Amino acid sequence: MSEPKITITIDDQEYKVNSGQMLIEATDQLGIHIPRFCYHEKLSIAANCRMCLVEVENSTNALPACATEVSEGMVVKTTSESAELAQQATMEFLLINHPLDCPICDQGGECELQDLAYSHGRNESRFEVKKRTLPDDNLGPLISTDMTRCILCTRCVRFGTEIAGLPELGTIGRGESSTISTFVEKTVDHELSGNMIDICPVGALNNKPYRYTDRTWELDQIESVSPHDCVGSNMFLHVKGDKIKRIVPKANPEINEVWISDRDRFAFDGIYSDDRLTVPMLRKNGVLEEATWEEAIDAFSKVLITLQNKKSKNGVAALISSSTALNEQYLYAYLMRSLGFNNIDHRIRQIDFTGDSLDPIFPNFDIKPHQIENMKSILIIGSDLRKETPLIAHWVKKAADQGASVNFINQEYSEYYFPIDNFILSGQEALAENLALVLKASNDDAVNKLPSHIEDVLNALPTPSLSHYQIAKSLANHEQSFLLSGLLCHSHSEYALIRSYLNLLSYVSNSSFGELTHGANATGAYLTGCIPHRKAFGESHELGLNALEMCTKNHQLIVLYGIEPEDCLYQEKLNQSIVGSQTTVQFSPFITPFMKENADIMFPLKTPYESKGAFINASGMIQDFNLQLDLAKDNPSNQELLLQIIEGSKLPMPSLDNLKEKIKKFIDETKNTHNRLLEIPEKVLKTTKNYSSVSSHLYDVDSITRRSRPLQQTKDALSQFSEDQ
Amino acid sequence: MMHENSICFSNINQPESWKIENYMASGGYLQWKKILQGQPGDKARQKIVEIIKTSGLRGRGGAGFPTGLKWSFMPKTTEQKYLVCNSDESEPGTCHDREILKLNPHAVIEGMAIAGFAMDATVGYNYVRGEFIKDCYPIVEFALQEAYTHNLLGKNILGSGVNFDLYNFLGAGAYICGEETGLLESLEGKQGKPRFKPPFPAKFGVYGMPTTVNNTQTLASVPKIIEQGTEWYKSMGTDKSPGTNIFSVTGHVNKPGNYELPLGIPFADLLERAGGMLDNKKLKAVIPGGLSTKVLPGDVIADCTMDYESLASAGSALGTGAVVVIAEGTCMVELLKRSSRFYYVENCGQCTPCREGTGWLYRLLQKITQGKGQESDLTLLVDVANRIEGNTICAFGDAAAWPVQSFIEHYYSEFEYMINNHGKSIAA
Repeated sequence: MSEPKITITIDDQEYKVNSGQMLIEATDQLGIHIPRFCYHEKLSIAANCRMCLVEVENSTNALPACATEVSEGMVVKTTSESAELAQQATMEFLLINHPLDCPICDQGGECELQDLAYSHGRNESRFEVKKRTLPDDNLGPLISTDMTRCILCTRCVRFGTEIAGLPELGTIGRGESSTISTFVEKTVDHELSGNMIDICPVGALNNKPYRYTDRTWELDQIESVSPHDCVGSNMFLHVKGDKIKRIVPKANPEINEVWISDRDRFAFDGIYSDDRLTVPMLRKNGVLEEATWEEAIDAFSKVLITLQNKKSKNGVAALISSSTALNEQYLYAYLMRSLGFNNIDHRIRQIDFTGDSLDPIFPNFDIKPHQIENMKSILIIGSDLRKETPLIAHWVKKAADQGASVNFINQEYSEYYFPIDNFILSGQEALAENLALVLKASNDDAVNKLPSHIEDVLNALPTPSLSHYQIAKSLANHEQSFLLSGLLCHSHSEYALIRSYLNLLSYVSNSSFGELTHGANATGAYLTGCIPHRKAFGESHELGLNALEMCTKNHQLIVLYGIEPEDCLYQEKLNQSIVGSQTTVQFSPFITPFMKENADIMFPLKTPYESKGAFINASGMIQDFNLQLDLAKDNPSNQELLLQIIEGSKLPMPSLDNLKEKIKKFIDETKNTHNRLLEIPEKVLKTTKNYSSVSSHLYDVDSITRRSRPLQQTKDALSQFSEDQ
Repeated sequence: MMHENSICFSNINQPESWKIENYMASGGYLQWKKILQGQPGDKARQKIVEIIKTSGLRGRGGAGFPTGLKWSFMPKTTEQKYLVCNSDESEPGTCHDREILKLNPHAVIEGMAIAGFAMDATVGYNYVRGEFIKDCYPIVEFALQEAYTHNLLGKNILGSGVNFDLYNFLGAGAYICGEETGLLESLEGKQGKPRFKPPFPAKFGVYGMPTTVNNTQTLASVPKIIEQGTEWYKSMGTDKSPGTNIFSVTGHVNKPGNYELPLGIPFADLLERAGGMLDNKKLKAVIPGGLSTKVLPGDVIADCTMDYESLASAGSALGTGAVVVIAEGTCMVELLKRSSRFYYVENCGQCTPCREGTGWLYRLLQKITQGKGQESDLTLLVDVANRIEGNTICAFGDAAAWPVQSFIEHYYSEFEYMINNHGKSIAA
């Protein structure tokens, strides 16, 4: 959509700009800098800081560039005497009550107020009376407050109202006694709250765990990708020496806009946990002892070679985390497959595997995250969306705020801060049926009719309710419609059936379909063959045991790569399997008492924060991360470790050359050729139903998050703890 | 013969003038009924707007914007439109709207009904100052009920097909809510923080819908103007300031009070009506239009007539018509300090210059009156005021700056004297 261009003059030069935008948007695009505090491109306009005042011809007063719409023939002076005088006036007013404690302020060096004070401030203050001070609020474990530094730009307030949808902070009081506050003392708990730290232009809201630890100008900035969910939020790691100090968002308009979730921001603290494993461990004479890398690799290789030569190759169980980097997944699958071990899986939070043969090449997510915003009708099934993927919830909120009809079919009710049209609260046992009823309602007047044998299945169901019809109608009436299946579906005992229904519904209603997956790289796990039913690149293969089957058996060897039993939905089963198996090998960044007791060989892993690799997010977007920190001197990288084990196992060395490119090409080729399976296979329909309650915990998704001290002190984590008691 | 009490105060000397039967006995609601019983369509609306335009009525809230023109800004669309009466009278020195609300509330209601009809606004709100809760608000509420009982408000009024529902709304005691967009925010239940304009209320008002905000006195003038005609109205006042205005005369006069008089009367006459100077003291200064207008020295105001043009050319403004008379012997430094404290306490705190600057002004004046002032403080005071003026979202910043600028301009020597004499006033 190209808007008509109009001509305006800025600082004696003519420019063509789009009509309908504010002056500051135009100057930002043109690279002309106008100072500002309250203006933020993602927030509504407040025009309260008065820093962006500029001279506009035919206006007696200076006008705020953030709230002045461009118009044909407008003549603007951003640096004229009157503009500068107005800006200097604002700066002086802002500084009179500001503590000017830059030397001890964490914002120092990256402070918008400090920067502009250099260009627009006076050398010395004319304000001789006592400065205003304000008490600080305790906003919880993530955000520190120094309210005396606050310049009342209200960005944080608008963030709460407009982005989070939960107005946790507001302005109270009048005039000079105005303050930003929660009003009734409480913590700030929204899962995106950490972004307030970034948008605060001064040091009033700061990163609490990072507080007083370092000066920002001593930090290096490294691009990275969040390893905690399937969204793949882009972020910057701020590193000093070998230590990550903090994390901030990196803008990616297709994935995470300019935000990251608190989990993305604060989870990294977990890698500095006390139970970090830094040296290999080997059980000698019944005691797990420190060993050299050679010893450990040698011991593991020997076990592998021995088992390879045995007949019962099924005696090996190989589990791997879905948050493992692509190259590691590939090598791990290569190692196991080459030795003839077929029991390999990453789906440790899935219990229904009856649909495996119908699995797409990799879990589908037809659109990119940002395209959710354009959807006009969205049906979310089986998802605690805000906790599973805070950023996907953000995009859904944006769609809802723009009038999209958002509907849920869910086991439990959680609070959403956007309008919801229909919320069908359904027990575990009725989740699939409720979805089927929407399908039935959709089929009634669909263009794409279902095959008659499926209609027969639907006809056996009760009559859909008004809500089912409304959802069906909304999906049918909007070209931009989207079905989103959440992690609770994934862990549901009728997962395969639900997915079949979703495929059918997607066909009938002509909707896009997206499936959230556990971990940061489930897509990669599918593509590299970390599943029992396929090899890399979707090649079919002799069927091995799935994760649940592996966990319900004892083995000659069980290998856990990047996972802890706590990550597993059936932790108890896995624990028993570990105890009952002959040899247990764990690759892990951490060592737990249970594993110390039961593991025979342990290899320290570098976390995704410390290593090099790539994740493929739910939408099939491959993203690199590359920060190679020295965990302990001379430790090999995860990739080197796997290669050494492959070498020790006397296998030909695999080529990692162009792996990423090959996978990308493969994704591009297969993504759009995928046909919706218009079938509900008999065995899927006849699943034995064994419902167990599953809930998603925001801060218990992986070993790192579990160990993050700030996250574990949040209300979310604490309330989960009390739930578990 | 000077016209006195011809419009808003025309019936206030009758007993129980606030009651509907008394208002009606003197011709009240006749104009409204005539409109309803005529052909209440777009032509009739247009006619009313034309009458108000021709009459030259200017808004009495302080800015003096032509009322008919303001009405014509309302879009001619079918969307919900609102009319709001600004009865949040809180400009220091001003007390005439209170009198109107107490003694002639039905003129406001009839004026609102007519104005609402003229702009096709079917809902009206009368935003009444919080402090009026005891003496005014019950009367306004009573009058509203009376109007409803007489079927003069509501749906399909008197079978005409015209709808107009009116609600009274009590503020919570903030000066800034008298600013029209601050008032709208407050009316919506939010903090009274003025909105940035544009968009103006005619485009984006209450609940985002087209809204016109008029002052109480303005709206109360409407029925009389329609009854008596524009020629009659324009026979009073001056060319550019036609009609009457209620002057709230306060300060050092013998008979402080509200005087409804034609605009353009000489200041000397107004002073005489107010009983002349208290204790026959000499006139020192006058703040002619509420605290937010610039002060004029006695000899300057003596030559002025009380209308928009004359006071503007003298360097001040008619404002709300609240005339604060100041006699010789008054300490202008103390007076300015007291004035500045008002703006320091009453600003909304939303935008930087008022929030930070008004406190600075007040504290500098405090410092001077405490005898700790320096000569440079006077330059600083004016500089700070200049830096507030024109840089804020609403006109509050200007209102806070003008007293400082004008007091120091006209009475520099008094400030200087106090600074040089450790806080001793020249006036004492």
